[in-house]
Amino acid sequence: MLTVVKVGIAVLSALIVMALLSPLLIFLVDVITNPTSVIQLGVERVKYDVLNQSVKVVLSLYYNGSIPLINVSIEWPGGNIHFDEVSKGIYREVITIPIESLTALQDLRSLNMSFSVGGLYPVTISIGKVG
Amino acid sequence: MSAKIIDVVKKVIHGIVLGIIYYLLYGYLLPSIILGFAHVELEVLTLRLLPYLGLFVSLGIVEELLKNHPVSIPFRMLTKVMYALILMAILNGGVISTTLSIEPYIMHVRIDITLLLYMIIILSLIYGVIDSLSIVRKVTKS
Repeated sequence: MLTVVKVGIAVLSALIVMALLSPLLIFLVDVITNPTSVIQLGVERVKYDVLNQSVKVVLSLYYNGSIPLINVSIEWPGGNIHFDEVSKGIYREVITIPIESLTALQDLRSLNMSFSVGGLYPVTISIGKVG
Repeated sequence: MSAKIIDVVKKVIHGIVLGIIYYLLYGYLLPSIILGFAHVELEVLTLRLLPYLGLFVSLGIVEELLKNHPVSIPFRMLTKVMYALILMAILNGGVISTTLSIEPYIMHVRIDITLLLYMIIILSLIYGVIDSLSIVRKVTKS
């Protein structure tokens, strides 16, 4: 009887671990197979406000992964943006940022991104430009 | 006398096999799957994990030599938790970091998998309790 329980527990454990691990594995497979186009950021200038030294831009986030990302936060020198949940698709936000931070955002000189894969695995990514 | 020696040798061999099996599961297979996806080279990983093989084999031998003895009841439970904690130590407490280079950018990626490791520890503890119960039954029968 105990042997049956032990085998049952072992099988159940394997199933639970696989169920917990699968969102992360699927996300990593998406990233590895297509590293440059799973998450893409686009910046489009809309209007300069010379008086306030700011610029209005449309920031677009394109996500091509299968697992939803929760609490997506993107920070760059001079600004940040937050999305509660990001599933496959394009998300656009109109934001106003200081003119000097526009170049940093367009060139991706320094950018920090944090999100949670399927709400289970927190991930932080720091991107820096070489040279 | 010689029968006793053969019995002890058998238990030691069984313990070595048990230790290798647990090492392959907790010290190699699970970290390889998780770290392999994080682009940590397998060769580096294997060298780093080798010292754990001795620990797993030692625990396996002690577990086998103490089999059917009441002392083995808490020992069996604790070893299962210890294996899971070793897995946690190998995986840096559940925080995996890696650096990727996609010209002209350098990306530092940090993934927190503590939830998965906590689940493995809890399941190991449950398995340890079930394993100990089988010894309790044997001890009470004899």
